Amino acid sequence: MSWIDFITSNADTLLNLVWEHLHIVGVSLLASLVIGITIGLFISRHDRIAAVVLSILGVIMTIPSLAMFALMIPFLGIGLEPAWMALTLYALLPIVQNTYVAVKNVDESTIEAGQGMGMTDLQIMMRVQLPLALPVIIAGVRTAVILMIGIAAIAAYIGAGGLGEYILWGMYQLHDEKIIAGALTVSILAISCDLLMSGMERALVPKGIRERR
Amino acid sequence: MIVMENVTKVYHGNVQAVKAVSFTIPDGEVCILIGPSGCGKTTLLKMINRLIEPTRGRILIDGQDISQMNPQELRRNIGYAIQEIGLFPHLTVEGNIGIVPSLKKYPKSRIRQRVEELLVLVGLDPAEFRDKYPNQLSGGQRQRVGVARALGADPPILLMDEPFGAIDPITRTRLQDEFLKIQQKLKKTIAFVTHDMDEALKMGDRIALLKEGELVQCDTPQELLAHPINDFVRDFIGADSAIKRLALISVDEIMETGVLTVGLKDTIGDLGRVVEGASQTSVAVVDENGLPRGWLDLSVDRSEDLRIADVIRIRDTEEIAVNGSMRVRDALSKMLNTGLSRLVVIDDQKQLKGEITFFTCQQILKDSKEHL
Repeated sequence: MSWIDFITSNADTLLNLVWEHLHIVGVSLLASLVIGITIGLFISRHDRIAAVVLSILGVIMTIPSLAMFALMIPFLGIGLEPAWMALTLYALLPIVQNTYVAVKNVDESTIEAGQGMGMTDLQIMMRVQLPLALPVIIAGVRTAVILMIGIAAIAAYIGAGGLGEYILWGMYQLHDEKIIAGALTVSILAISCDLLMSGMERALVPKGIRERR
Repeated sequence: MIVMENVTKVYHGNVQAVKAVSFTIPDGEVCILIGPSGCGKTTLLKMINRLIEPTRGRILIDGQDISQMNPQELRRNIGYAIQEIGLFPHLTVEGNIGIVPSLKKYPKSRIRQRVEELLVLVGLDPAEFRDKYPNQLSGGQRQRVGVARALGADPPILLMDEPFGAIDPITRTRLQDEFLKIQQKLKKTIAFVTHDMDEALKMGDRIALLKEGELVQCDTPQELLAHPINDFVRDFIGADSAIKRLALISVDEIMETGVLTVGLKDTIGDLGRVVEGASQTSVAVVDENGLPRGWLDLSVDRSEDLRIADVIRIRDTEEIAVNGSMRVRDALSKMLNTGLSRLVVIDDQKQLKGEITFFTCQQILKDSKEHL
């Protein structure tokens, strides 16, 4: 098949694009983790704000990705920055939502036990709620990563690079092999990242709560 | 010492969960908070470590008003044991027991050592259990870990909210017995919530009976059984208060001492020497290790010089003996189960130290009836 030949003869370029792709997703993931978990923890203690925040993030999810990238241009121009920004916004909903729900679901009596032992609110959050919420938070992160790897392909439209370039140019040049190579690699990338994270999950979640999921 | 002064808790402006309760828990005593559900016993308990703040009134610990103390600091010096669900599922047994010491910033080596001590104290092998997670433990083991965790930083005060609640009756009795032994050693000041009167009578030096937020009676178990101040107390104790009284007395207190013994290997001929001038109608028979094995009726035909082992029914010591630290009620139920009208009393080395008879139990029941 010709697309296999294409991939083998362009392996170097393809690998470069993979790295670009991972770079876009990685930076956005880091940003969305920090922002998302912080927001999630914060709104878990403020129910009224929680409803507002979650519906705003829900609305962001409904913006078509092409439109989202276009919307970034007036503010951040083209290139990496608008791509990071857009992907971070998309990743927030699964991360914030899962953090919020997981922390909320920690058993009331477990929290009270922590208080009764003399933990401060911060200690209860860091030493009880967060570890117990970890499996669900990680599930949210997995969803976010898959989502970002897919959407990052569209970032090529605003000059951010990545595997989207092959798909984009393939379309302009009616070059089927390029399209297939780009799309296939994006899928493989998504699947391997998901597998990687399920391994990470096993390493991170304490043994005592693994069976509960 | 914990002093409650007119402690009142009002929810939503009008629901009075606790109404002007005053009482004192002296140092080293176990005070049981008991009453029907909704009587405010748990609310009262949680006010002692400020998980709930009283609306009015004061609580003093060793003369100091706790509302003036830092709540976290206060709680780290008060052990808190709740039903098994209170263990942190993501932490190992060591992690759970070491919580308060680590909050108090003990060095790691000291925490490790403390965890080991506590596991031994509550009867769990440190090597086996230290690294287990709560979901790998049985209900009884979890309760033990819960108690060990409450004792983590060796606090002078313990608050226990139905700590032996969700387990089977046999394990429960064993944990209660072990806990009493630990308490005898440690002499903590303990507030203990339960809804089970038998547990209250067994564990408490003092029982505070609550109803709809009010303190109805606060007394020693003996007083509560002998002089309930009203029908509510009488009903709550239950109709079998006389039998419950037997649960407050240990076999040691009422056993008859000076029981005559003969050896299994002795012969009828040796009897004369043992029972000379005694008024007993029977003697206890012990084997070469001093373990009681039965009784010999003194009306036995003494014309032939048989070995005692050949004329009596030899029984297992376990079958006919009770430990002196056992409750009279348990001894009585053993008599009823075995059909024996008396039992020998043994010490921890299974050596004979006395005898308890059905007649003695009956006498106590009769006496307590006259009290009521």
